[in-house]
Amino acid sequence: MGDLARRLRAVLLFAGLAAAALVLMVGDRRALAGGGRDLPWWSGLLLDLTIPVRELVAAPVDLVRGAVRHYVALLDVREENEALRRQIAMLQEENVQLREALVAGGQIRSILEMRDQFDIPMQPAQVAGQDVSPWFHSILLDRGRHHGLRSGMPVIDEHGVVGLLTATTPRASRAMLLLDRQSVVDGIVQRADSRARGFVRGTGGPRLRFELAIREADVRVGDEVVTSGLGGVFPKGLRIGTVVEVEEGGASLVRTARIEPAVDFGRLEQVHVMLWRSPTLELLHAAEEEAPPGASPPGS
Amino acid sequence: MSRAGALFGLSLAGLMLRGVVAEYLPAVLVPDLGLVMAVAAGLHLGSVGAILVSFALGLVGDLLSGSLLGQQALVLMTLAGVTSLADRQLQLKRSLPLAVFAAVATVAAGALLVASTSLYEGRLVPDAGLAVGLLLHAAVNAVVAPPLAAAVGRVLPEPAVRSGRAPGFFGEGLGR
Repeated sequence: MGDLARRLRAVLLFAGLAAAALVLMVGDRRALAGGGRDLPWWSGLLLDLTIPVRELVAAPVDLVRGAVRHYVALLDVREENEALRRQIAMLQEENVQLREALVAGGQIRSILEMRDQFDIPMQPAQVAGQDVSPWFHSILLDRGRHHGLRSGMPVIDEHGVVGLLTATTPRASRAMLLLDRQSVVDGIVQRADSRARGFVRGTGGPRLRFELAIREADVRVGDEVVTSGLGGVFPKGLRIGTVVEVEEGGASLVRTARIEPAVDFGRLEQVHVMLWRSPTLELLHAAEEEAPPGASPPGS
Repeated sequence: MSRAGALFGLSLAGLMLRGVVAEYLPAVLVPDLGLVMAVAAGLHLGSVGAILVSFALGLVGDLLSGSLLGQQALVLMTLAGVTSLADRQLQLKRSLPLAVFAAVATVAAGALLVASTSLYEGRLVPDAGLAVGLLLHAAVNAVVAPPLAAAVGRVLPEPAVRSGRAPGFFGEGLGR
């Protein structure tokens, strides 16, 4: 009898928790579709705690790695090299953005808009940890709401798009990488005589999948793909990657290509969060903040 | 501190450690401590305790990962429940059956997580890379699971052995 009661208790508990998990999943999915959310204090606390714990655990490894880098490779030369590399990367990025503006319209106004876009303030952040599951691709950052970060802000490094902030706490945040299966970015081929548009999706692997909007679109190996600005999340002209393979697709309605990301996700240490959210996301979040508890966000 | 609380604390530390180690090694080669600890909970706590601990552990994993809140919680809780049920029939306290079970559980849990995420996105695209990753990860977890589960068993001795009392309200695993 006691055994039966214990089993019944376990079954009831399992059913209750499974229902709770499903409700949480649906809620989280809705929040993610709206660009992510600011985590409540109880869950944010854990994320905040992770950063110092991670620093403590990683300190010996980082120390050895730092020593090798700094003293073997000569401190001054390395720093100078890094500064120059940063400068080159910034100029390259500016170059890409200006080329994008010129190609798109060839008008001074576009260039000015692009320059304004490039003036978006950025918050540097250190990568404080990788995803704890091998089936998802996200990173923890050591900067949060106290530093101006909000869910839905784009994350980049000197090479291009890294991902998107999906959760923030006062002192930490989580960003979903482009590689994640849930990641979708609206991209466009930068070549002037192509301008093929499509969705760039994460595959969970090291490469991205470019689903072209038009089957006859002109895409070639070596084409640079940048953000189109149409997805309502990323500003226009940020580098996504290079086309390395074009799949003809046979009878399929969708033509796809494989993209090698511009960012080396295996070596991410420092990233920059663009302190910018698209007008669509701003409206969505403003509506959520104004809505009474329990109300549905617009568009959901 | 209760046995469930102790196991949760250990697992939490393991999860954080995994996040750090994953910075230096390919993700599939780093043991999934959440999954292994859920199996250990199924073996060494009662079914109620195992379900509660693995659910909490999954929620933490969801917070520290790109999965949806509740996704890993549901998978780990199910795994702990299945482990608890299958323990006697499959003799999971022995190394070889446990290694095989951990490998199968890794493949099942990974496939479930990926499939549920893909379904949310309205597409299900299995690829060869994923299959290889799943198998590699399953092998890593199969190696790690037996010693880790045995260590958990040593750290958390059975309550009847330790106190000589019968299980309490929460079953074999919680409350003391």
